[in-house]
Amino acid sequence: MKTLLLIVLFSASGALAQAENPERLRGLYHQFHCMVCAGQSLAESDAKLAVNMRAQIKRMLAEGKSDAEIRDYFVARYGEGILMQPPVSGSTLPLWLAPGLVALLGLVLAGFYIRRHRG
Amino acid sequence: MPRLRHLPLLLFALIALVFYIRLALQEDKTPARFDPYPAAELTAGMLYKDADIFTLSSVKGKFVLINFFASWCAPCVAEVPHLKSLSDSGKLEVVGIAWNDTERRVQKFLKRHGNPYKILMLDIEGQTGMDYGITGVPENYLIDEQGNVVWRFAGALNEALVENEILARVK
Repeated sequence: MKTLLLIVLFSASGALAQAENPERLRGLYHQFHCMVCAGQSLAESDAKLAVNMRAQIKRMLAEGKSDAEIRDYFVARYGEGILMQPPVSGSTLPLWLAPGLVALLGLVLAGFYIRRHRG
Repeated sequence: MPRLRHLPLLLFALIALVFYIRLALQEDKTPARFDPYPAAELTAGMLYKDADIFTLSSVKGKFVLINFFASWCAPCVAEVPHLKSLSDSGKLEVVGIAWNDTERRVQKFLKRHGNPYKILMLDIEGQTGMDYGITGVPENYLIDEQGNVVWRFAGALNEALVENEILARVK
């Protein structure tokens, strides 16, 4: 009985420590967009909705939910647009590739410009 | 290297082509806004402490309009007459959920602008609003007899929306 009680207490304290882990909380806040702000994450916004969402994340952590479960909860309600870093998929691939391609184009143009002016 | 002269143009054309193909072939995988989906159970407390606890399952078989509003929201005032007419029609239950608000302020709001709601709930921390995926107020959700959200609208109701979107769906 004592062992069982110790296990329960140990598990509960572990869950509580996880829930109150400021690093984990901050990390989660930075994973989500504030849906009513311009480019801000939940961590940076004081909008009512962002405050609500931060409280929801805290609640879900206290309930022992994993990061993936928390992410799924928000994505199910607000879509993938809520993620600060959308997953790489067919539809988002051009967005991920575009910066590299544009940088490459810039480099090539710069190369041509330099070559022309040297010549 | 005369051939390389056209490389920037080719790269630009390649990027444009990638985007064009993606846009042209992309299926819209985001759920259609009005594709029915099961409504989340309402977890907000009742505004009036002595009121019977309301659950969606208790009104299955009836259409329900859930209206998220707030005492501090100006467009919410504009939709009060439309909500009142819907409530008076008896064709559906009109549930008001005060979002991020206080009991005292909501009571003041209702006294000033009228109370169109049969059922009133208070979502102090916005949890029910989040369960529904709202981004602000007012926001409206029409739930059918089976408990599915069949229409949602972010913004204040007007006569056209009441007629063409809500009453057109309520049998």
